[in-house]
Amino acid sequence: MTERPTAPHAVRLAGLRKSYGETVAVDGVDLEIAPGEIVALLGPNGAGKSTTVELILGLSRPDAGTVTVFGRPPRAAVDAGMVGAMLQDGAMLEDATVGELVALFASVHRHPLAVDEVLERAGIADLAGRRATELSGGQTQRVRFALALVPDPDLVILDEPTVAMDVATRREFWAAMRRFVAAGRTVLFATHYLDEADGFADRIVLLRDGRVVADGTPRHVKSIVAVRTVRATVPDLSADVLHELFGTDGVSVDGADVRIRTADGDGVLRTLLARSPQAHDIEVTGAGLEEAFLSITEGSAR
Amino acid sequence: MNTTFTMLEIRRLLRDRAALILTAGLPTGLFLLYDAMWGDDTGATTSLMVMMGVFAGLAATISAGGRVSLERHAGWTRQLRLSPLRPLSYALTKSVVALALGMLAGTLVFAAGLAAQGGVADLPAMAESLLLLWLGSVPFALIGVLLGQVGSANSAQPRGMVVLLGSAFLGGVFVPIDQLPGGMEAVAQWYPSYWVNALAQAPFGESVDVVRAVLTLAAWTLVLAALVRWRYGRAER
Repeated sequence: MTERPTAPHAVRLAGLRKSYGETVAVDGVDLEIAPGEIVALLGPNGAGKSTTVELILGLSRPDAGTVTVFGRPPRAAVDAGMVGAMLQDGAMLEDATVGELVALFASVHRHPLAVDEVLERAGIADLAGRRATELSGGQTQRVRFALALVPDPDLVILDEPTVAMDVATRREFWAAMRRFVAAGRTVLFATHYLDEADGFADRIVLLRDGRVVADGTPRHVKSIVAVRTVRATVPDLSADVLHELFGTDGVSVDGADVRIRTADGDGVLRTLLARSPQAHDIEVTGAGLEEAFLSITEGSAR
Repeated sequence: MNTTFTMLEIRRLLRDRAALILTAGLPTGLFLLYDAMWGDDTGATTSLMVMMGVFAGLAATISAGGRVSLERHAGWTRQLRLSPLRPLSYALTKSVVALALGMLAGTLVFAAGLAAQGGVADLPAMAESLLLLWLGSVPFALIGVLLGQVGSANSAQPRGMVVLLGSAFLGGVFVPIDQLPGGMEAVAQWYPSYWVNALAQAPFGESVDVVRAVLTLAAWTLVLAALVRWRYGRAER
């Protein structure tokens, strides 16, 4: 990977759009990823992560906009062995062994790594003789990862890579990834786990409804996404007063039951206790990503 | 064409024992059965051998479509698209492997035919017949690959079966064509399996319109190859 000409961008998306029938999957995405960056594409299901990944890999064509990978069209970059990818639904052949699959991929690439080395790097050297049907979900994912490593790619694209893995396997997988990127490779991975994006990426791109809603360091994005929900029974404050105090976004009042979604849980709690001596059954919970997204987009829609 | 891919496909085929027994063993078994019923030394045995050899070739090549369909729906072809391997060379490899299975199945039937005839077997004629039969199977390998590229995986098997049985009847494999209802032969002469059978019978002394046989088979091969190219070329986008 040392002799290849360098392009200013590992990935460059401009005005990317893709619809499937009535459904708009990607709705005007602009994104530039520099070589060596580790970028997480974070978003709930249906945000357009997988479609974006497919467009970058040349598995489907955009309705509008352009994709370049190291300055080339996606297929050309894949053919040149510059891109390795791991798809969610990329199946294995059931009646072939892991070693055979890796050898097959090695035979079609121009400058592949040695089969043994690939197996070693993906941590599946002991599985070479196994049939795909004999693998656990986590092992299958590692075989997919191995296939992505075969061309010794400069850019690795992973779509929900740890989805079928247990906690220990997941940790092992990211450790293997860390070793892999130490050589300055670019990684783009789609995930719906905030902690995974936070733990591994140095940049997080938030997608929702096919649009980029935030793009920045994990710290920046976490401050947006780390949403709390404060629930309480508040008999002594009217809905109007509550809306005055906490705004209308993410505040729902049902009789005495109040639910407030906020990025500043502590602040809401202080105000609430100061203004409502009778507030009880108070509960503060961290919100899931879905809920966090709801608050982001509700906020940006106004 | 990629050697590693082709060899892997052949190994996978040999691993699928059940399918192997069905595609290679069934025609052989049918031949032995028919030969026990109608076989004699006036040419009925060789004729039955060729008929079942043609059936074996058809079954082996057309059934390749089922595997293509399964791999497409399981996501394996998608996985392959992450490599420089082109859909068209995937289709080509599948066709070649289907033909290899056809060769194996046809040879098995002919081996049984050789055993049934014993010392009176005309070996050069058998070799020529087997080769013609094999060459004539080329359009059916393409039909198999095309069948796999369209429709659902669930319907791939029944669709393949319909095409196989239709091709077998039009090829005079189960019932000699001249014993079918009038007009059937006229229709069958536009279909390749008729000429596969006719060509493969020729080395044993049957007459055949070689020019029409070659023209029909070549035309079908060219048209089907163009369809495969179009269909798999589209998949590259």
